[in-house]
Amino acid sequence: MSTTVTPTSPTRTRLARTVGGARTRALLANRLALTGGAVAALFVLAAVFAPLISPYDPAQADFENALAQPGLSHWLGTDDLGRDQLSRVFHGLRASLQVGLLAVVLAFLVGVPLGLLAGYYGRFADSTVSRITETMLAFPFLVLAVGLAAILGPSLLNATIAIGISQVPAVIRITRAETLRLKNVDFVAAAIAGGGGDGTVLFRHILPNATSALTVQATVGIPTAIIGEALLSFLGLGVQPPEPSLGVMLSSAQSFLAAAPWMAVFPGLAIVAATLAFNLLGDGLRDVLDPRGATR
Amino acid sequence: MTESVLKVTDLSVSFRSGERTVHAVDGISYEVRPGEVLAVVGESGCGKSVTSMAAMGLLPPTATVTGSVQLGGRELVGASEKELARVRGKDLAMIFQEPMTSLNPVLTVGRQVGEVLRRHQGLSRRQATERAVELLDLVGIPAPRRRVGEYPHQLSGGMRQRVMIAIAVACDPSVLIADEPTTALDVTVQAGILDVLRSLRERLGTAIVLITHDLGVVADIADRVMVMYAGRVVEHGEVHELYAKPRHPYTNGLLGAVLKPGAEGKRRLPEIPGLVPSLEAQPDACTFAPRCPRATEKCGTARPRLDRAACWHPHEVEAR
Amino acid sequence: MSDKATGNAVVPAQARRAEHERARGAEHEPALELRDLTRHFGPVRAVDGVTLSVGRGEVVGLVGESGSGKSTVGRIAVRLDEPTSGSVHIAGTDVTSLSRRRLRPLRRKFHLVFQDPSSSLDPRMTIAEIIAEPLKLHRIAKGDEARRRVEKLLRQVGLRPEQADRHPHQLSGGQRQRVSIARALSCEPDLVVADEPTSALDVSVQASVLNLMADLQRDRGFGCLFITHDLAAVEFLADRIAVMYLGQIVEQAPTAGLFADPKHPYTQALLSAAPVPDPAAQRTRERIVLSGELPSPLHPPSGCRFHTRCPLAVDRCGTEIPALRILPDGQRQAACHLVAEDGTAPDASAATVQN
Repeated sequence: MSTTVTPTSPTRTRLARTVGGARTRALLANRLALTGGAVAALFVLAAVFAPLISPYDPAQADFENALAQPGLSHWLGTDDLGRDQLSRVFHGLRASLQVGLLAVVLAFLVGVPLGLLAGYYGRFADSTVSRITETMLAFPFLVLAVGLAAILGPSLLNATIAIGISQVPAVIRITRAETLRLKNVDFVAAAIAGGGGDGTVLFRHILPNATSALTVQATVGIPTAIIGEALLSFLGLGVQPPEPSLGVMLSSAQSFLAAAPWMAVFPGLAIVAATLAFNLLGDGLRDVLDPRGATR
Repeated sequence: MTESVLKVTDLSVSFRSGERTVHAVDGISYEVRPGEVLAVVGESGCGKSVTSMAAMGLLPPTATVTGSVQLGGRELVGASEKELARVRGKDLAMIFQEPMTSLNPVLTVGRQVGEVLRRHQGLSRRQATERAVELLDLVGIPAPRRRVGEYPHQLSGGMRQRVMIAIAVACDPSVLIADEPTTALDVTVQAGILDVLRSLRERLGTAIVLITHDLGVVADIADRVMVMYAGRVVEHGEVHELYAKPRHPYTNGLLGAVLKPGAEGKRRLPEIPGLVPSLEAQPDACTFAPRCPRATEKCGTARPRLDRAACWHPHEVEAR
Repeated sequence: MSDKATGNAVVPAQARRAEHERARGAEHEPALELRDLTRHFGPVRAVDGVTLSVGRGEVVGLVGESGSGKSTVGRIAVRLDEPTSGSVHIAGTDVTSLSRRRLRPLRRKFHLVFQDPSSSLDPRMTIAEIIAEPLKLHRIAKGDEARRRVEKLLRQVGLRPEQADRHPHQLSGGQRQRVSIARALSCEPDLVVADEPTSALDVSVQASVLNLMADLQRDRGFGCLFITHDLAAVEFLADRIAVMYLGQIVEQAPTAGLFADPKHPYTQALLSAAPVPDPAAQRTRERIVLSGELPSPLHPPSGCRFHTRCPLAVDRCGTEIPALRILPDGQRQAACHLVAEDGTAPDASAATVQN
């Protein structure tokens, strides 16, 4: 719930106190969402505290123990350089989530204003923004991200930018739709009649009422970004070895699939689990936050 | 006295959501005889619509229904979906407030009227269309032969409601439940719809349960009135009698608060102070007591029995 | 009427007049004056030549059925919409085509109350924030002063000050409509437009909201354009009533006169169709049944727009547009060929009686 990237007004926090109770209860009732949330939280914790909970230095090579099977000393085994897989998965998660979060923040910073602009002013602003959005949406997300990353050059920052920009159309679309819906609700007319200008209407009325939809969008945006990061790193366009990342780990596991399958299995599982967890959480939030849903 | 066609006895409906239970309808009973118009009156949330939805078996699974609803001697509460499907549309029909959402936009009016006939009476397509024309004529739709081929969006709100009525009475049901049938319509159109209902009752002897919040509509068409408040019946009686001498303070308040076109000077409208109570409790008391000007201690400790009015201190004479 | 708010650079004669008007003060300008207003949405003529004024402290009822264009008139009156042609003056100021930016400071003089209180209050705001918003936007009050005013307004509309920190969904429909009224009055406007303010409410709640509006209007003396389909509600509240049909005003009269002696056949039909909550009276009334349906505003009928449904229509009605004439008593207007020069009304009930 704290992933809202939009400016938080005092109203919002006060609202959370009053109706938050009912919503929290509804979310708790949704077991799948709850499981998703719990797993997502675990992953976030693991990423944040990676340096503390990793049994080994993720970059420390140990050729004596190269390609060791999962066992007591190395729970998830080691890779071809003898690096501890568990530690690398923790640190890889760190990179993945970092890219995921930053990319989503970037996508919102660009997409929300454009969506508001398109939805609220319509006409020229709308047709311009919508054309760009449609053009970008014509490319599948991953193709777009790979293309952009290739243009920008390989680095973690560029991968984040590429993934962020690839998510912009989705953010624009949802913001625009919410703005279009909300601008015709009477309370917006009331605000204008009360002497409110565009700023009041957009930032005091439309945006706060769009936060539910945007929160859901952010939650589903993170797993998409995680997959994007994995792919870019796998292709060598993201995190650069020896820095650990789930994508980098998969990439280097390729040559040892037969000899050391655990090298691919564990980072792969981590990606799948993180993605699934955030998606479940997002679906649950959608049910709970959707004002048209049967809360109340 | 003729046998009643619809007999509701001690009907209660509650909805469970989480730990809360809302008692939407709390032990109501009524009967309707052939050709009679019974108006069920009350403000939003009083349970008037839930009552009829329960009779039709149209409530969601979260609802618990107890008591009895008998249609021509057949019990409907607890009847299987299959049995209900046989009854619905044939013996017991219903029309709603919003005719647009109840009609299928991609089928012609004739098709939709005819469908009921083909399902329940096994008519051929041609026979069904012929009968549909007759039905549209019956509900006062001009040029019915042309109208059967039109789609809902080509009709006005009033005409759509007439189509809904035509569908509802297609199989000559013994009871027609009309839930706020004129609320979405303009007054000049409303008058026409009420005329249609009146003629159905006279020509086909259909019993009509009219659910409405509009006391003007009730005055226009009802034979008997049942006033509901917070899930309970607070008063019932013959329409002239009830309007002239309301016994229950709530009925009295409602009739006082309603605007009378052509008779409004700059008077102050009588108000009913306070709010409708929560439906979570089923107190052994009069639920109107907290808002009632005549309430005494007794009203808060014992539930009044429904005689003509469910009230410990009813107005005995004309008190308005 | 080109002299805008300032009106400095004008020729001497006009200058003298303007001077004179200033001396008389804006107090004498009507709260709202609509002249020959039209609003077309593409080919749809929603409003087609409406002239109407609301005096200071006067309540004017605008009555019509769906599709009459009455709500569009209301939205234009508070400049939430711009007319296709014609002019809008509020308290003497021409606001017809002012930009949103130029309009903003003027908006403290007028506000509106919506039909549906559940959509007209921002669900994310508290009651206090909702009511104080116009005060803050117009820099009338903020902080403790705004709070004090909000509590005073809440008391005036019959709510408790401690309800200020609630959210709209925690109030009942009637209470929400009171909040909407408090917001509309927060800047002490000259004009309040109320668009079906009681239509979404239950009978008993409706009565209390109407009482409240009557009380507030008497105490504060704002001009009010009360838009509704409910004849009894306008009769209760309005000093004068204008009846609209298909984008035009067909009759205008002081309230008592309109109910006692409706001139236009449409007004007669409307009055006869509204059911009276008295079974004995209702069942013996004569009712005028209108034939046909409301014509499409895309292709309004020629001549008198009502002639396709009018029980009294003659040939002339289909060809010649009836002007909205001032009747001999000087207070009433009707747009019907059949209303005689001396103001005698035709009797539509004689043509189609049904009871």
